[in-house]
Amino acid sequence: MASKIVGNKGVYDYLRGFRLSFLFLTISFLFLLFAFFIPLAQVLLVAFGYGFGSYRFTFQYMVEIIAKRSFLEAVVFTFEQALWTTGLSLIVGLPVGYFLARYEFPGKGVIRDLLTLPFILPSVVMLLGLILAFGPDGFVTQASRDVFGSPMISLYGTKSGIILAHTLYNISVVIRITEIGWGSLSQEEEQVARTLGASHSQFVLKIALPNMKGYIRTAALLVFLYSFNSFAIVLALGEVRYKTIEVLIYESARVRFKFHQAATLTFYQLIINATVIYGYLSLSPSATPVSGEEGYYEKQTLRGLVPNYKLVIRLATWSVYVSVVLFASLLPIIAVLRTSVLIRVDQSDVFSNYKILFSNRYDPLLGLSLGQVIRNTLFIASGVVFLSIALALPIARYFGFYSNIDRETNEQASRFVSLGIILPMATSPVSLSLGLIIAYQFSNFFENNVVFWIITAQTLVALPFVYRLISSRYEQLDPETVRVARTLGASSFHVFKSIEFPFLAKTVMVAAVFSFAISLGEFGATYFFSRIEWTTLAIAVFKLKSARQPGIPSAMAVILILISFVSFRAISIGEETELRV
Amino acid sequence: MSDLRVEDLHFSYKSWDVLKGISFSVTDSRLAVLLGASGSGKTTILKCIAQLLRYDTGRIYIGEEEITGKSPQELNVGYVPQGQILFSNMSVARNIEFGMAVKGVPREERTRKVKEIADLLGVSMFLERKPRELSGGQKQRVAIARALAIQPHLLLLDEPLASVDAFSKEALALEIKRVQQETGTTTVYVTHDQTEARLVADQVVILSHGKIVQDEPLETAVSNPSSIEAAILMGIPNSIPVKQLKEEILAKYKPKTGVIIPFDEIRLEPNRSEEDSELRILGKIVKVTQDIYQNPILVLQTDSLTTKPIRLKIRLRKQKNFMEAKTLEEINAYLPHNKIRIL
Repeated sequence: MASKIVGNKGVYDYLRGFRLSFLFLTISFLFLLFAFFIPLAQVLLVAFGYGFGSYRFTFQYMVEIIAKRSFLEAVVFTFEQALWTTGLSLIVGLPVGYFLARYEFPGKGVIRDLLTLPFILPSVVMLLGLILAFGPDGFVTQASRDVFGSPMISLYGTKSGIILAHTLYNISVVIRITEIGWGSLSQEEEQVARTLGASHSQFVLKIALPNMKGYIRTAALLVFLYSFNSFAIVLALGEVRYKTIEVLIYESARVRFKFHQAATLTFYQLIINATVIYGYLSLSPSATPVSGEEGYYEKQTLRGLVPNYKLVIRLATWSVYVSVVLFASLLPIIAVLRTSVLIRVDQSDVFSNYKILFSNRYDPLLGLSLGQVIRNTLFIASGVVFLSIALALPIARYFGFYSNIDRETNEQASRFVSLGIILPMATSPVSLSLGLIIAYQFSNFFENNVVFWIITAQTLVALPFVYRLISSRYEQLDPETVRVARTLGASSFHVFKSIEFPFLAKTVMVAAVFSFAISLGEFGATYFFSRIEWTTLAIAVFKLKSARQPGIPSAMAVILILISFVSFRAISIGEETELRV
Repeated sequence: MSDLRVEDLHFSYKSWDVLKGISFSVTDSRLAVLLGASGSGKTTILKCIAQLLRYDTGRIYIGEEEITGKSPQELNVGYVPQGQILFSNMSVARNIEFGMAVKGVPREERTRKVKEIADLLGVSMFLERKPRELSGGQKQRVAIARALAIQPHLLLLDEPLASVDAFSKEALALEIKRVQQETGTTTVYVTHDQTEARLVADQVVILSHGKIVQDEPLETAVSNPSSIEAAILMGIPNSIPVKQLKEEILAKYKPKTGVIIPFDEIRLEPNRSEEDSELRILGKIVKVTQDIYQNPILVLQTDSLTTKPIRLKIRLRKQKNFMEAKTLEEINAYLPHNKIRIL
């Protein structure tokens, strides 16, 4: 038998071994290119005057917009409300994070989940809940009128209404991140401080908070960026007085059809977002802001504590504070749940609002049947799940995993690709959709297949999260197992089938549930493309938020809450990937 | 500076009795080493003394004052935990002055004291650095300086050299001893390393499974271990527990816990016949090594005494006939019966 010549792998051998992988990789890259990078480039071109009949570069639009009063007002308001929201969320959320990190008590897991719930809800659900609680006919407003003679807060057309809405939404982000921060502090440091004579408050002020600044900065950044790019809540509550840049972009493109202006606004918004993120990164060079050793904090349990009056006062104060924050955070959800069963179409049936959702009853406000809304939502969500996993998997596999095994791609290329796929996250959903419209609106395909663009835009929103989930899981797979399988003669396909996929299956399921939830709750991009025939649950909730019969949108919102919660639990239980995205 | 007295200390965690009636005392200005294997309860004792853990029963006195139930803030105890824990957000100088700052000591006095204590520990040149810019040994010096800056009644050191590199260990151990003697601070020093214990201790308290098995001055602990367990923990060579000994050895010497074959009493005499007054050990020389003072040591592998082969150390400088013995050949070693330490 002729012996084989063992030598360097030729290009042909290499391609033959991986041709399927390369095919999928190519498709993923083409999608990103055509759905994200080309549209983004188009937006930037239009911002500089190139496009829509004009074919020369100019700073005219850039300069014009700065001089516009409406733009300056929007910029000031966008910053103002984002800073207020960030400050208030930190003040309220930091102590709760401390409480959760330091105390162990029965039912803590449930309380933590409930406190986190608003963060994972679609913005339209929070919006509807706030209107049902604090709106002119809301039950909190009515109670306030009965007790104090005037409403507690005016939700529409006021800064305080928007800041309240954003704060209630974002407290949970602060709680979630700072709980990890408090928990990561070194117990030994506290013990040393105590033996040196420091009181508890001296320890918190002089050591704990300075050591937690990385976590506090991260929480502040997320809250700031969320509020800065807020769309649904400001669109609904701001009326004509208050607009964020995001709302101005929408109005310029979809109401006034001023695409140059919309593109210029997007350019400025991107610059501000990038500056904030860059500022954050340069302020905190370490990604893991943990003081000293990896923290292990022995939590204080209630069992075995000898009751004394100081302890009773401390526990009572904590209970009251956490209960108030919990109640305030859950108020919009309580409002939605309450309305979905109390204000119903058929008084004899408690679940009539839910049943009607799955019927073919025509809704004149929406212009189509409620059953069709559910079908649209499921169709679009299925498309997003399929596309986001099919596109993220090959990239995560090749650049997140195989680059470590083969050393055939260098680390820089791998980082570059990761950045490229995560980049849509830094671009708001409205801007993503604006890019797609500018790039493709004059094609017949665009006009006739609006659902394709909705799915594309939503996939761009979900893709970074799905990619991070899958690539994080790939990082946990020991490359040695694949090397061993290869030495035993397994082909690339076989390795994927028998080693990688079983290892990834649970994560792929989690990613599927997560992208499904993102699609269901997605508002900004979907609203941008919205056509009556492709109305989704989130759009329907938004359109019906002020309807005379709020029971039906409330039932829709409850469905969205349940699906969001299930997806969140799937992530918590299925994977240890919390807050990595 | 004060005496420390611990009386009948019990501590349990869940269903595990970590400390089972610990009693010992350390007289003023002395350094006591708590020596024991991992899980023997050393760190727990230290944390109980600092009142960082609430013990089930027992009393602890610093001087004449009972401190049980007091808060750590009230004690004026310098505590240096394992792992070089510094306040990472503060400079070295601010770390050292922290205890004084929270007690409201005026700034000028703090600055003077920081300089004084930093000079003593040899960290004056790092005062403006952040902890992350220091080596392991430097961090430990700062942690000790911070503890000493409050002029504590008692200094508690938990494995202070655990994460210091091997080259710096001995120097830092001697440095700690020097500083302790200069300041006259009563000190409890926790370690599992007998070499460290021998370098710093005035008194050794040996712990095993939550109990004290020996509490003696260093010289006594080394020359007269109370049990084979204490001997092993003190690092006395050729300490063999009873469970490893052969039946005939057990019958002949009747040890309670084990025997020690003194490594400088064994004679290698390849061509001599056995005498009644001697124990003959047949084995092979498998290695030549050296002790911490760089004296050559022979390692003899034998199964003459134990059910499974063990390695005995033999001090080389007393072996006149060593040159006759060849490595990896069976040779005879002899030891007078009366030299065997029976525990």
